[in-house]
Amino acid sequence: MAAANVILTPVLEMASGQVSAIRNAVVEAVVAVASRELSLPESSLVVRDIRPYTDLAFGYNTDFMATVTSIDVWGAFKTSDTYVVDGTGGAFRDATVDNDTMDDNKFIAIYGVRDGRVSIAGAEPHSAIQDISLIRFNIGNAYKAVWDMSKVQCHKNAAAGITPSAILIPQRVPYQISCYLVTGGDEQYLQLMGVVVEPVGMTVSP
Amino acid sequence: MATLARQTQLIPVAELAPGAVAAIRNNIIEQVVSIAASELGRPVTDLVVRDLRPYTDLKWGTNTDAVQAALTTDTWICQSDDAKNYNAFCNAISDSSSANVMADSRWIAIYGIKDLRMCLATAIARALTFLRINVGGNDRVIWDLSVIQSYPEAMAAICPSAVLIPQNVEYMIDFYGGLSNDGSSTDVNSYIMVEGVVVEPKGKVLSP
Repeated sequence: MAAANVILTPVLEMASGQVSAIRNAVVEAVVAVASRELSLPESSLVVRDIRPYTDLAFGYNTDFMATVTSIDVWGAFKTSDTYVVDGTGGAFRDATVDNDTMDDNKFIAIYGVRDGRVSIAGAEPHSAIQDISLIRFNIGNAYKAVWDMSKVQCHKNAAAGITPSAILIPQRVPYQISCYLVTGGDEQYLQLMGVVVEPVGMTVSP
Repeated sequence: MATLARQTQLIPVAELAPGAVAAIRNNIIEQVVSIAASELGRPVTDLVVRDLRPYTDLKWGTNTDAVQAALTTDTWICQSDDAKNYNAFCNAISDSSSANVMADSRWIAIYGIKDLRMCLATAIARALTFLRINVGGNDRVIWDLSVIQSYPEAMAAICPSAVLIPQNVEYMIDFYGGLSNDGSSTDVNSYIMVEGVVVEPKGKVLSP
């Protein structure tokens, strides 16, 4: 298929092994881009998990959160025994720092979302609300994808979705991730599925 | 996984192809057995691969930098001290009297995590969001424990490349709790365990 396929598909609706195939293809592609741009052999690069605040500054914007999130956590968290909730509903809200650019020597690929509501405390059924309906990515001042997070909600034991076309945030490129809040004022349970590729030693030295 | 880059990301088992978990585990066991045999100058038939004992082998949860009360028993369940590890990595392995140096003639490979809390009668909140493993003075991995939150019936994740803790080498595991600092002493228990194996000579602990 030659069309750019940016739809989000629940992992339970993929063929067996397809999630791994997409992830491996995404990792290979972003490693190849980083290797070429940094003029480093692939063996000098590391693939690691994303740290939401440290790598993406995710949550550090009061357009999205009632209080900025300067800690590495995806989703709901408490401070002084009170949950920090999201901002005003009814619109896309910018979840990362305004006018932010990706760090030097760092490449991030995002290829899906996970909904963490299904494993919060308490007995089933879990009643927490997922207040995010859509997620929008602006990379280099162009909208790359708008994902409908709602579609993962029908699979409560595997509430995750993946896309065949990853969102690549290359080094030094401006980016903004915006979430459409339905009502606002709720706790967040969103995690972006992706990887960071950077030189060995920049953060970890496996 | 054709790339030559070092893959340290944590992948939920629910997102792996059938057989991939076994393939990763078997590959890691082969590698660590090979290293142990080479360093000890023994045939692989003299070695045993066994489960980790959290306290006896790893000293898990023995540092009050990360937990309320240091563990002295073989359990993964410990009370995370949110006042300390909220927004900070805290040492979870005792570093007094070289307790965090791997025993002689013992190799541990850690290649994943499991979260046991969804098997409780009433699930509790998670206590940790990140885990960092330092071996020989270098941070080897920083794992995002959130990756399994969307799979309540399969709360396990695996890494394509293991963290190897060789004999006589210093190591540290750090907890990061990004979830809550409720300002009280009623901290949340962590039900996170690490997935891994111990390789050592037969007779040291087991003689199968």
